[in-house]
Amino acid sequence: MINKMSITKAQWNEYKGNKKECIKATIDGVEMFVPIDEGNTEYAEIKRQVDAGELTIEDAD
Amino acid sequence: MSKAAELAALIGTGASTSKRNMLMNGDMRVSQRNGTSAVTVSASAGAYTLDRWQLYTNSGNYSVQQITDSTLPSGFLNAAKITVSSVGNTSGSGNAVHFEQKIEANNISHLNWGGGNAGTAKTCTLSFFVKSSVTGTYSVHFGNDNDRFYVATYTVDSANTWEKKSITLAGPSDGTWNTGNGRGLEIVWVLLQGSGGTTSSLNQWISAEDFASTSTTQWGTNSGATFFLTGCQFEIAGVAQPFEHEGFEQNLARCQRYYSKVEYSNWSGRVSSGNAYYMHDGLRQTMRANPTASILSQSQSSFPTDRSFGDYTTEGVGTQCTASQNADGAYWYTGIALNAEL
Repeated sequence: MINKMSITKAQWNEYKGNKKECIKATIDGVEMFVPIDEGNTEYAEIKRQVDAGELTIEDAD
Repeated sequence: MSKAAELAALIGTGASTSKRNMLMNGDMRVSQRNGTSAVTVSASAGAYTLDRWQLYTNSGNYSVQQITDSTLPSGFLNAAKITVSSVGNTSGSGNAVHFEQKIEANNISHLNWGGGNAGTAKTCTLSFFVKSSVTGTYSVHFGNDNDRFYVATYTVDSANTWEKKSITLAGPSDGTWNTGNGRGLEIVWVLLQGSGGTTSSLNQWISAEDFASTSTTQWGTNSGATFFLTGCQFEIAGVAQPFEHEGFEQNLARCQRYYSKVEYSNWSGRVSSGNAYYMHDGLRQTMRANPTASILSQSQSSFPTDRSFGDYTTEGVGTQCTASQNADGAYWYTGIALNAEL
């Protein structure tokens, strides 16, 4: 499977006091809020890139 | 073949006579994201254009548009039109331009592909109508995202003329095929392919993830070229059956498992500066997975433009906004896109 996403930024996003509720990421130039769900395609690709050392998720503001 | 014989043949293959098309929005009628506007997809990116259909390019830029015109095949109102905006090339072995749909594993488990269930792997047929400004032999790729891939070809005989094509493939008896809500089968119409993704092993299941014939037409290298597609159907059958038209609302509902919109998520009331306020919106359909949210539109008073999302489920999503000042009559609204594509 060709990687068909370009992820240029990833940052944890706070919700109801949980500082790691989801990931705010810029994917193919669009800001997206990605849930922590391995069935979610964007999350799976973020996790793959983090595990491969290709991407770092910044702390929440 | 008579209608009775056709029906008997379908029953004999185990095919359903209703909802037999495993592709969604094969008639290109649903376009929630962009309507009839053309969208340019630039290298290197993939973008969902018409519902369930993704264009990916890492060489050249291409516009995709839902169109209607009087030349469409009988019974069809819409087609996907792809146009070369900026030509690609095959200088890189991994260069590719793909128009594709991924079918959820839940929707192919009845094929017995991979030999996981008792019974023979089903033979299936892909059929579609195509019109291209460039004649030649094109490639279609089938793959399970794991270890079984299949490349077949079809020929566009006449430029700028609608032609119906079909490809029949015997189901694979081995391989690792997903079940559940993950990727089941990817079907790719190849519009450009570098040498690293080509093969001479056609019309057979292979273990290498190749996408095209070594002699595939490199449509994406032709300035201003156009490629139209509609009537796409993938079914259990030894020969292509007539396209299964379905009601627009059924088509839309099926697409909303993968992409949906909350047009206006509203909150209003009295607020205190620094306090967070929440809204939770239910979705029209149960989505395939917890969806990714993005903001389509917004407006606010006494709130900043920042939003946070959480409480994700396949049936809803929550929005948080923190008041920037004390106020009566504060409000926000947010238009939200929710994406659970494969």
